[in-house]
Amino acid sequence: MRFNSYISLAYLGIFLPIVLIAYGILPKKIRPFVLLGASLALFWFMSEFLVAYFILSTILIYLSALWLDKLKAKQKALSALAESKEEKKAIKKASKNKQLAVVVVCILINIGILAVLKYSPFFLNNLNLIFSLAKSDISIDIPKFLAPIGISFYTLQAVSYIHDVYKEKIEADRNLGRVALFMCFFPIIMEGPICRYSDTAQKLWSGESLKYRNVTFGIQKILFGMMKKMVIADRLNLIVTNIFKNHEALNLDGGIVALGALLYTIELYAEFSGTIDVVIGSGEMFGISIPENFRQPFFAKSISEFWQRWHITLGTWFKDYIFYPVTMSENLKKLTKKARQKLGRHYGPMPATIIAFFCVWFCNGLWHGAGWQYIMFGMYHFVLISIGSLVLPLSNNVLGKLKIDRNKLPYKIFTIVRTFLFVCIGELIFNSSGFYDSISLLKILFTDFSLKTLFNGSIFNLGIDHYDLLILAVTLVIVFIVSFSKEKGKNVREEIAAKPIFVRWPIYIGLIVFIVVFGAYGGSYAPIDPIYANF
Amino acid sequence: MKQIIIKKGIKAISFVITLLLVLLLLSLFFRPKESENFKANDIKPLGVLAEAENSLDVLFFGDSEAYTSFSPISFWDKEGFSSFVCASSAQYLSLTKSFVEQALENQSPKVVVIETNAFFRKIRSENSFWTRFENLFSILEYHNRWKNFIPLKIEATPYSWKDDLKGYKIYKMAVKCKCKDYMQKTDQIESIPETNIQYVKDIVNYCKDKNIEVLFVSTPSIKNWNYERHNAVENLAKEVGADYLDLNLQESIKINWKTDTADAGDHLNFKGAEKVSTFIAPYLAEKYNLENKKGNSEFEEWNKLVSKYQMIFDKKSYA
Repeated sequence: MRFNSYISLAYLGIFLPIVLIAYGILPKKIRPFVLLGASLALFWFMSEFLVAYFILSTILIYLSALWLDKLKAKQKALSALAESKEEKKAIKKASKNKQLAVVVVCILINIGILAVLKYSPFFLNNLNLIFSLAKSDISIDIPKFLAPIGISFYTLQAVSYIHDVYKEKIEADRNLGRVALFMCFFPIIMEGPICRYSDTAQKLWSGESLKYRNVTFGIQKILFGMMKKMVIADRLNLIVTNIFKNHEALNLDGGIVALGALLYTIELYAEFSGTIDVVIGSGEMFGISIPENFRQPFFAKSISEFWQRWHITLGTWFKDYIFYPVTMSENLKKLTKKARQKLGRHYGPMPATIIAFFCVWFCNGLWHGAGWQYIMFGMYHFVLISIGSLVLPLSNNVLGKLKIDRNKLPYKIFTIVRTFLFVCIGELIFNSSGFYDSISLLKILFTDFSLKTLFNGSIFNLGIDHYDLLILAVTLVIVFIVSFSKEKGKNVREEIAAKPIFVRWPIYIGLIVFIVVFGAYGGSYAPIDPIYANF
Repeated sequence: MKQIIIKKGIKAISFVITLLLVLLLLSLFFRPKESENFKANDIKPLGVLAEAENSLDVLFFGDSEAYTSFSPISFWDKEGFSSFVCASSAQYLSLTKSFVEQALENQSPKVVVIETNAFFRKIRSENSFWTRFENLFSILEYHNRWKNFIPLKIEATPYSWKDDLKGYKIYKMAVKCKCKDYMQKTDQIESIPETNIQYVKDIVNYCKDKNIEVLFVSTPSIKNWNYERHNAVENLAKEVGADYLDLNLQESIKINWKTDTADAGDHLNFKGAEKVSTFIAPYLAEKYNLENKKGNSEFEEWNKLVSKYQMIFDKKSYA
């Protein structure tokens, strides 16, 4: 049995029901082991012997956390025996240094594994390029490494766990099984979301009984995710791939490239958020709340707000473990203090903030993939967000003079559309096949733009027909209505659940039939592979 | 408490039954009418009925070994001849015979290719659970026919269900198997059931009456094939006057059993099928003098399907 997607017969039709039944019929004490066994089994199905890397990371953070605990206990014991404040301070400092060393080594090993498996070919390729530019004869052989599924996700979880233990936000867990389950709970292995120990670990290990409501709500969430993925993302795959991979061969103009950027943005959202719905729904069936990764991102009014709504768990991870540590570092604190005196309250913290933004967005770009287009994608957002912060007083001033109210609907719509366009350009860079390709696509977009090809029917030669467009439009309207309701604070699922059975059931059955009939599967459709599983 | 559980259990079961009934009804609606004539338990081969009359140069028949190994779009891309795979999983020769007869009503190919794995399958009266399931819920296969029900285009859409892959099924996953020398030469012969021999003879005679050549092909499969079977089919081919090609003995195909099989040596995946295509497309074109029709405007649709097909192949495999 092979698994390459959560939206597959193997997962939804076989694996999940078996785990659910086993979990439901076995006693409470055994249930956490059912989840752990199932998670490790799924990991094995997807990565086989590469699961060893995961086990290494898990044992490493488990032991490091226990070591930290031991150091803290030793520090307390020694402090209790200390005779003076100075002696206590010295004991604390010595202990803190040791703790820091443990954390740094643990994090470096975890990040090191990720760096070697995922990034070494990229760095060595670039090194070879530098050698060849310098006309040197040196050429390094590029090793080929296989990385386990979800390494980018579980590595970040590992770092957050050890960091939080060090910062005493959580206590070191003495239960290796619980730590392992937190790291690899089967729905989150492939595409996240990136969970925090404090949010999920205890609940995962509690072995709570199955509840009818949880199971049915979980299924509903899964179905909605399936609809997004199977009806929208899979349907768009052919045309998007055609535009991005063959734009040179097909001599496509800027209009079609713009369409490609728009469709890819929709496809990426439908695929990623659809899969996350399946992930969250799977957790919900067991009564486990997996954090939301999307909060109506296309309603964002700025790029920084967009990133608070899109891939939320990645954004908060970077905020907590890169942005804050960088801005709160001693050197940058001093810089801010000095700058504040010269530049004032708004611009004073800017230099430190921009340095932190740079670190965040460089890492964000690199996290998405070992390629210059991803670094460019990160830098694109760094520039947009930095400019957004820098020009805020100026734009406030201008809007004030023009008497434009930020809270009025027309301005809100303008900012939403503006943000969406910036996002589409970012995704154009993101989905290009390399640095030069992204430059080429941007060049076509801005120098050869024409609306003519969009309306002369030539798009129907790219892997989509009139019917596909019709059903895409209908499904996007459904997704928009649900998103809009959520944006207005409504809980659509709760509202449907409160309706009488003759209203509820047709809605549920209608959704299933909609997926069965309009799903882009079979025939010449080429379902999209999980995009974020590669990151 | 117990009452609540029973009540909820009944509710859940009622929901599932209602859903299945809806899907059953829709299956009746979505299934093309022609399938009734075909008496087929599998759906994929029915696509041949939607092909234009006398438009196919080669017809392939057989079981899952056939639909995972022969890719008509790839053959078209390489040699420009049109073909269709009328294969279904675990196909019995009784069904093959009925497929051949039905398909040849509208088609007059130069050659009929029969994959030989089914020669060794004993005919059972009952069909498998999955075949029955697929047959009952045929909406899963025909769901895309909703496009035929909505008149978006001015020109009429064909009623029959068309299969863009022309009967081929893509298996993208790769599950490696232990390499072994499964084709060790021997004089031993595996016996083919008498009933099956009779069916083979009937099929060959039916084709010969229509002046259609018959070629038996054994596709690469570690799990299903061996030299004993090769000998049996070779003898039968001589007896009935058919050509025979055993791809398991063609080293130039270079099947890599670690990467080219979908299920540990049973079926080929898309990489394996592509290697088979590279070998068999020119073989068929040359041996049966098949015309390259790529420039023929009547077959423009096939050229378009090649680019769609390529898109599927360009995608990364997780295996």
